[in-house]
Amino acid sequence: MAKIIGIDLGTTNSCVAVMEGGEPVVIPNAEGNRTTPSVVAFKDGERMVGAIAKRQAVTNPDKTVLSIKREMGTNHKSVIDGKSYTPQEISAMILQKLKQDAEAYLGETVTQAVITVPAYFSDSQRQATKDAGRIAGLEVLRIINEPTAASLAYGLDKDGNHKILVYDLGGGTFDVSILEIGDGVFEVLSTNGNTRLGGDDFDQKIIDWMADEFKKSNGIDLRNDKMAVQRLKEAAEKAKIELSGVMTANINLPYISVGANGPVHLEMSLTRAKFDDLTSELVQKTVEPVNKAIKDSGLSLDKIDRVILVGGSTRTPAVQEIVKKLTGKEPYKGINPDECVAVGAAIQAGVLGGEVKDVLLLDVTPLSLGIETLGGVFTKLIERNTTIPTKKSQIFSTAADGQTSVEVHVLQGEREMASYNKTLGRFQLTGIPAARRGQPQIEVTFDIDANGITHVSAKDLGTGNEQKITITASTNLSDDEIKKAVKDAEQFAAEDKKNKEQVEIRNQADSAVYNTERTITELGDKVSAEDKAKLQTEIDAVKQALQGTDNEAIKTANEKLTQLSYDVFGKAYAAAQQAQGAAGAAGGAGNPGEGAGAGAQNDGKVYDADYEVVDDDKKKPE
Amino acid sequence: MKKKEKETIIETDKNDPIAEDYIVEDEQPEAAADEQPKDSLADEYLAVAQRLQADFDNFRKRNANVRADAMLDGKLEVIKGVLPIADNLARALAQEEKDGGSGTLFDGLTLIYKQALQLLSDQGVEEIPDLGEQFDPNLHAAVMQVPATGDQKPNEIVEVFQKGYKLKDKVIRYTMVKVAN
Repeated sequence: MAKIIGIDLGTTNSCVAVMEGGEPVVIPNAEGNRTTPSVVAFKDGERMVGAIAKRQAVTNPDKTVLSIKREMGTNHKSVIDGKSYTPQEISAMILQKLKQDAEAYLGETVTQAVITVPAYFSDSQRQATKDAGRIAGLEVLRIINEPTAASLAYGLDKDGNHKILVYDLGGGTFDVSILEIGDGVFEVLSTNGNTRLGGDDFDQKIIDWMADEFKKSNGIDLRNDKMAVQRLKEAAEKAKIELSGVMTANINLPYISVGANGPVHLEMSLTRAKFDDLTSELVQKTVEPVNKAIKDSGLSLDKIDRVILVGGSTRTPAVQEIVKKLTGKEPYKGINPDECVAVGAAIQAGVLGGEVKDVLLLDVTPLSLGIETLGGVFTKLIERNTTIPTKKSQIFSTAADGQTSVEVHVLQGEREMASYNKTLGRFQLTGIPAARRGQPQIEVTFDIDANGITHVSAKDLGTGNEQKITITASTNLSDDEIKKAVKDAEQFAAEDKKNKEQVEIRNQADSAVYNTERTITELGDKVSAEDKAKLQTEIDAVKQALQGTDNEAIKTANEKLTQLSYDVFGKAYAAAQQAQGAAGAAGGAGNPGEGAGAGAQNDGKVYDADYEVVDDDKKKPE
Repeated sequence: MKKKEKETIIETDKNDPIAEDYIVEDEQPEAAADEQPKDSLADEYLAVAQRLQADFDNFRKRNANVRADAMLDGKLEVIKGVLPIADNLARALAQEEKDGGSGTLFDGLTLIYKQALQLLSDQGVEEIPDLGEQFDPNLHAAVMQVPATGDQKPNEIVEVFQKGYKLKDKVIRYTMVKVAN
């Protein structure tokens, strides 16, 4: 079924979004950008829309159309190359590019859309927008208000009745709207704003300050140097964006211009405090419209319970401050302010297209699930917040030679060590044919169905023997319990990490001892008595260290053993190879391979050290 | 599932009856539980499952190149940061040349500039041809326009404010130019 797209057709920039898998997704344009400048230009019979039109605007001012949205609903005509275009026709060109880019992204045709308009748009302005869609080949299923769309993006229609203030400070205009949502209907209570106030004005304040300061200290007015002005513009925008995050922005422009005595450099520091000072006049300009809108809405300030920020310039800390001050509320700003209107339009499009259904309310596992492995470590199989139903398998093995059963201890939680997590169940898989440790392949599978019931199974891939249990209790955790588990994990993260490392060091050392001893036995007389003795010394050293709890000592002893075993086994391997080469036989691959294999395993990175299943039977006599 | 009539609504009274649709949708599951025949419920589920599968497939296809794209994006970020440094080295050298252009500092700067250019070229970054070329908004961004003088052709780039660079077909930074009328 074809997708319906949501379009924010803005004065300076436009944005398109669509529902995908139940989530709104912003569609990048052909150039890879998430917003498209609302600029149309004509040159040599060709038509350009977007950033490319913007780049040539200066060379082609009479045939480049900017901010056509300001003319929607009027009789304004753009006369270009002898042809006369209505604002709808120009807007249609923008919509057409957005449509094409959406089709390229989705890989299918798009014929329907939801388009947003300012809350104060008149009937004729709304009709013009609908017409623009039709001209572009889009059936406009709904025209919705921009502040309403923003409210949808934040899900404000989902949790009861609200009175919402939407503060929209974008490219070139400032709009404030007060909305009420009740019983499923959005009602616009009042609107106000300033049609000529936006991000560019903030940039200009910085440029002016830089030029003025420079003039004071160098006597040169950079505004007379066209190239310098361009660099100042770029630097100003960059500094403004930086100051939304840090307290000082460094502006560094070497060779900015040439004075009477040679080249001059510009190096300045703009603090956030200074920036707020420079732009306070602009921010103040938004105060009256906000107060007026509140007054006209007939609501008292305390009745307004939600505040939303829309538009790139609301990223400015000073703007966020004033909104907080004016409304007494912390504003919602989690969604990209340049995109949230398009996102809201996409959500509405999804509802109209039947995408957003309550039929499939998907759950998630609140906490991680896994099993206990060698050393008391908690090995996760399913991460917390995984959407269910889900299934995950992993292969484990035995910890000791001749181990014929494994115990699967199922746990839930976020701590690294099993003992700190919650036990959900235990079971044993028996009948594993006796083998060297690490050889058997036991596949452990966690399967959670849509109702949250967890099935855990362990299967010996060698014999096909399988055991499983079913756990139902896990879904009954309260929110507080979940929060606590997560918080504890964070709080004890460092300690847990240390504990886990300790276990890993021990496991690795243990493996190294086991593998070295095995290899010595297998290589037999290919290892000289002298080397054997040396190795035994190191092996004993590691065993000694393992008796205690000094991890550094264990690690050091392990490293010495590993290094020595590389040397010794490496020699044996090389000798064996030479012998093979001399005999010209390829059949002896077993031994060198064995040596190489043992060598590789002796570097302490044996997989079974990490993944072995704890077996309580190990402690019991067989 | 009730079919909703497709009516294009214009907000004449400035109200958005959006959640109307939500209310319609909300009523479905209850009705479904009681009255909806198993067949139509099954069809509904099938439709949802198919759509999800399709969405997921498309998502997968689209994300096949996510890793490669992310690496390229990361590289471009760094390259974009290197460009102003190369610019400023060029400016410093241009100034020194005007003043005579010699000495160890000049030589040192020249080598450093070459190093910066080498870094860029190793990554496949090329300069976009500018002075004297015809202005092309696919490659250049015009910031000023002046009447053509002498034997300058219309639409010719007569001054470069900032060099532009591209990586294969992708423009990393558009050349900032002054164009003749």
